[in-house]
Amino acid sequence: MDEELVSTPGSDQVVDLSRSGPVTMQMTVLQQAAVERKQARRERWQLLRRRPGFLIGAGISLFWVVCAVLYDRITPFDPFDDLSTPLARPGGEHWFGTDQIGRDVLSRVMAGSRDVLVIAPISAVISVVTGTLLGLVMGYYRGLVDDVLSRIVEAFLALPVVLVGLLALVTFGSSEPENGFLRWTLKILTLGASEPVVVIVVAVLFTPIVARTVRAAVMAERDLDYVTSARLRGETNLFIMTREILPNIVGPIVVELTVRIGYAIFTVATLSFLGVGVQPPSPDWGLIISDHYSLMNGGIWWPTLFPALAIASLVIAVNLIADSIQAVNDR
Amino acid sequence: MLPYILRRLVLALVTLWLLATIVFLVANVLPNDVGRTILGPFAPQETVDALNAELGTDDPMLAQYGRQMKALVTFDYGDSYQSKRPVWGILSGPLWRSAKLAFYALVMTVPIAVAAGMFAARKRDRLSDRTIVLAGLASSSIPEFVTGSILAVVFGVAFGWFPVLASFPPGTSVVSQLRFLFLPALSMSVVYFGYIARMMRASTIRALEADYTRTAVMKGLSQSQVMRTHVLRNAMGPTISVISVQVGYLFGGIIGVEKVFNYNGLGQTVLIAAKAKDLPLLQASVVIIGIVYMLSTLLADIVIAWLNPRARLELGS
Amino acid sequence: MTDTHSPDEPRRSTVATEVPPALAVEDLEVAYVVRGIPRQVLRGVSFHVAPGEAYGLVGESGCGKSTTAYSALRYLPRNGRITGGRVLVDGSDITSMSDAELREFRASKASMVYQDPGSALNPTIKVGPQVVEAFRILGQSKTEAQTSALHALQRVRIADPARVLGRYPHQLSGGMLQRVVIAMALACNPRLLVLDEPTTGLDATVEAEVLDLVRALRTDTDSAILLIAHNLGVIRSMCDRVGVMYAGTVVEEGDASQIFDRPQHPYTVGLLRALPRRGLRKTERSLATIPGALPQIGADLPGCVFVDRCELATHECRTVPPPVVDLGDGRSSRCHHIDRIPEIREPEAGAVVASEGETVLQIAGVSKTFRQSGHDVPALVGVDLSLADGETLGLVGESGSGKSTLAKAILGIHAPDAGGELTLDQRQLATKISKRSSDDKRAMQIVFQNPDSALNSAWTVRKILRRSVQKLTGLNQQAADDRVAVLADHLRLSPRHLDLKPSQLSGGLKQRVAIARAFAGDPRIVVCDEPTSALDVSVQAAILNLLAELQAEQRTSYVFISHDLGVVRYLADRIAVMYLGRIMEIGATDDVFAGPHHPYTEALLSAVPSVDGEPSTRIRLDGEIPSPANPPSGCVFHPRCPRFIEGTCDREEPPMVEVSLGHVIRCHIPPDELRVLQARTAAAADATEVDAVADSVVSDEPR
Repeated sequence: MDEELVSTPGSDQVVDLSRSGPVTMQMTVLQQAAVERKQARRERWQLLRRRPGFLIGAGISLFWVVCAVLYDRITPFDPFDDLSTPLARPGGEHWFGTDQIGRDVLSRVMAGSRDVLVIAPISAVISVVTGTLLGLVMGYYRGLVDDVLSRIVEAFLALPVVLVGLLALVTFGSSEPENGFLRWTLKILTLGASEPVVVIVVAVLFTPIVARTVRAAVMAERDLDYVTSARLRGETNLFIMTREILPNIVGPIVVELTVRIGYAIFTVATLSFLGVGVQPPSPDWGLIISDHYSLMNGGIWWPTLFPALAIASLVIAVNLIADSIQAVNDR
Repeated sequence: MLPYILRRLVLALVTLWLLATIVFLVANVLPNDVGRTILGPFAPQETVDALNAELGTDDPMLAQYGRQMKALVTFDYGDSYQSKRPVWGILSGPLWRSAKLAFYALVMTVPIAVAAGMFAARKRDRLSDRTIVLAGLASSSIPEFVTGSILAVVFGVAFGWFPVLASFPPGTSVVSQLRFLFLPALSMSVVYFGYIARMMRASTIRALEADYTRTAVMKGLSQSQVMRTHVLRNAMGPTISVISVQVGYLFGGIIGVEKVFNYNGLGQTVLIAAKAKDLPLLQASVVIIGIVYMLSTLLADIVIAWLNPRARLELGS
Repeated sequence: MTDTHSPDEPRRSTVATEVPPALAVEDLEVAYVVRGIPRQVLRGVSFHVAPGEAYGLVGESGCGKSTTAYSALRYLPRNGRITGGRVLVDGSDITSMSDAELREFRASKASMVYQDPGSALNPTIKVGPQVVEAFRILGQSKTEAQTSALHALQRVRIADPARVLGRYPHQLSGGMLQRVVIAMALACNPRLLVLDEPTTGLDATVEAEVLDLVRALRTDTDSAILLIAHNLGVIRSMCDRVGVMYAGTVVEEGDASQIFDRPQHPYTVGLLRALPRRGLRKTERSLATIPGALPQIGADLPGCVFVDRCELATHECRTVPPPVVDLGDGRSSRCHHIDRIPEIREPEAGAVVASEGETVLQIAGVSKTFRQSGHDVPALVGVDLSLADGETLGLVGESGSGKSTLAKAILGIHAPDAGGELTLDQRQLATKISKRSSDDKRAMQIVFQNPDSALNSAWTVRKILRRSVQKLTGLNQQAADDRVAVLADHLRLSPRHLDLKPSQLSGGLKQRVAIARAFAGDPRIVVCDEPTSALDVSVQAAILNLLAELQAEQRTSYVFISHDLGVVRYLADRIAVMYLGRIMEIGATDDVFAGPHHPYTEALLSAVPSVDGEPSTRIRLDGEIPSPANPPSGCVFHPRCPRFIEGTCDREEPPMVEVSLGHVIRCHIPPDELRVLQARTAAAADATEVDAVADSVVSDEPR
């Protein structure tokens, strides 16, 4: 079919001067191109803003970010204060009730986004960085390097992420190591997150998954002629990988990052629930549920339901944003 | 075809070996004292040393690794450190329970998810499509234990329709087992619905946009004929891949659901074994989960090859 | 507007007046929704196709010809909407049909054949059921449909229909698949058959077979044909009448030979002059180009759609839409200034002088063998070549003939097998690019077919050029920037283009950047691998002119690969014809075209549909190019050779015979005898009609 049928960003920003025309004409054509480029970007942004999914996602995420930053000023009660009646039903003073040692559930849920909102993005970023490096090498060299690394990646993928994370955290313990050097290395690597081991474990687990995505993108790029052209002028492999190919796969990497943040929240919450992630007395949502789910049978549902809804809302919000960005990019 | 299957099996063995090695490394990367873990902090040092000697956990790393590899080859993991009972004896119960739950969840999920995906693709960008896409997105991105908790609160606590605890007493009839297992299976189902439906939607759209579908439409076939004869077969391939990966995960990755509903499956066993540093039990469970994963993906690739002759060609070479 | 469109005289149908046109497109308007905004692509398209008539739509990419074709069966992309006008097929308006009526209409009245037959059939189902399906829909029983399917394949001249029916699409060649698609399209004996680029992407010899087939089938159906093709030669050789489209409008319409020989619209004139026609060479004159670019889809065009690029444009053209001027004989043109058409200038004569210099590159005994799943696949076999200073060597041959492999072997991308020798300026060249000195890397560069793939889309043009300049010449930053400015100026890239990214440039500009990059280090040799195949005709002309000028100034040598013989003839000083990794014929361009040629060359030449309407000799090749993994014995061409001598050609490798100075043919038949045989065939072709040749059937040889 004609180009017009697949009107992509490429074909709607076209300038041509098949023959050098008068200078004035060139200027107008070029200015037109710049205007159209800006317009396309604006249209894309408007498209994003018009997507209800994006708006809802951004709104919910923003709410939780504000809670994480300002919780000590906006929560109705001190989330760590255990002076009220334990297990008070929702209503009255405590809208969401109190937990088993008398802390206000609403305040704890509001403060509970703090740890996960630090751990999940940092681990996602680390995994995307390492996964990209790995994927670049695998996709670019192919052959033996790729075969060996692919087998290792495959072995990782054969087990559920949560299971491997569990094993690692049981072994390492989720708190900071005692060894000073190790502790500081972790602190720096994880930008001072409170649970550095959890961050690293999640990052390591996600690395092979990111690597697989990046590898596929690199494989598609490295067969393109610009790579051949770079070799013909004598560029090194390192240059080709990092300067020629990498800028071209930023799109899928950004999408992967947003998706990974969502899964990191998923994973961190699950690990906390299993008792190997974020440690008490943090008001982490997974932890609150872990402490109270066994009381459900006795009709004590509120300390389980509210944090569960909180997790669900945040994960959905992040995924809505990721989905919207992807959809708009694909247009 | 046969050479392909053999090659895949060999590769699976390599992966299995890597898997066992990874688990061994993770479990042993920090110096740990198995005897102390089992006996607790107050046991006298001599007893701990004796236990370590008995278990061989004071041997050099390499010797321990050698024993693990031997176990992998002979498939004989010996006795559990913790309970001293044969590993396979301990595992058989949880394995059976996990299989039951996984199968239940799959049967509940796959037909609905596949149908929803196809339906959404046909109604692309309309309200019903957006609804299915968003529902799939939401359901697959919420952790299982969260879904499980919410379902338990609603259907178990508020309505009281289903038991909140899934561990049924021995001798429970199959029908009533189904009732016990309904909530955990539904929690898993909710998560995997999203994956499968979204993949089915994407691959159906790809097939709908393919040139061969255009040919079929231009022949004057009705929409249902086009879907049935031309789209479905081409769209099933990627979806089957996704399902096969989930089967592996359903066996071991649903610790959260098992915990919420207090169901003693493979996941709980791994959790306990890991916490107790019970390496034989841990290795055996991990290897089992790995084998399930690899068999189900292999089976899926064979089915895909059967569906699509072009994939068959790639397998042959 | 309709008053200027007199109902067309059906040329083949006997009843003229009562029969409604097979296809009547009336004031059709179509818009595509892009990023939420509807943008108009068809701006009132009107034309009629009579029963039994073949109507061609031509125009460059983006002009709306495919949209028009798909509208004729109401099959638009999801974001496409018909916003005005009507489409009548056989008298019934398809724009107002219900879904069920539309299905019935597609099943019984109209069919379509598409570009890329490889994806037109369902890969998971055997060919048989897919063909049977086309008959079942007509209400035939299963056994009836099966018999019909067999007959249908026989009708499209497939030798062993039963076997083809039992195969999967991926087991058949492109030409065979296109026959199957045609067979399915003809199942219902449609009133209207739409062919959308039916031979694009097929090799010239296969294209010729498919076109012959369609021509032959026309004699026994009265289907009207709507043919879309970017190749003007295909349109001319197939169609009775032609519509020329530009920016969603039919700007000129009329009898095919009239349009091609006496165009009456400035756009048609420009389009046709951009082609290297009638054996034009670069030494005679440069090609005409059309300045400017196609308007954006959805652009507001109050006046004439072509105004921005028209030499004759006046103020009136900008503001007032031109009328459809009836020129009689069913001819019409949408122009304010038809009387001034002769004013349009032709480019001046004699731009470039071919030169003969010293040998730059010598290739001796170069072979390349690939390993493929345990088998040796020889892609090049003992190639000897030389290339002179400032010379263009054209490489032609079907896909799989080894043209690109040869180019890559020269460049060191695929190191040739041991034993072959490459000499550049009397120095031996390392076979691998990584082992070559920076001087050698600098000396040889390439221009690829697809500039989208060849330019790093994440970089600006400036960065692309500067990096090449620095890497190839070793200049410092400042000097490199200066050189980039000089290069850009040379290639008529304005300084502002330098800060854009490739995706913001049109195809022609992108290819200019790619050429600038190749010239970054003053190369001795530039390999041009189908540099204009992805471009429209007018842009191709500009690029060919540019290449010729650069060569004249810098005495660069070109290895020019192309499947378009007209283009090769225009640009190349010498031509090498390749088949299965071997050079079958090499010689000066005029000698190769004048003959006597190698029988393979003869077949290639006769396969090209000419835009000039000259009768071509009709040598047709049977079957497909054999697998290089298992080349035929003796002369590798013998299984397909129309002049095959049993006992000789299949046993002995043919010698290289010199016909005249520098013109060599690898054939057992002596040149004089070839000359006589080929003259006789040409004479016969003038006399006989198409049908005789189209009778040949193709057999289903595995690729």
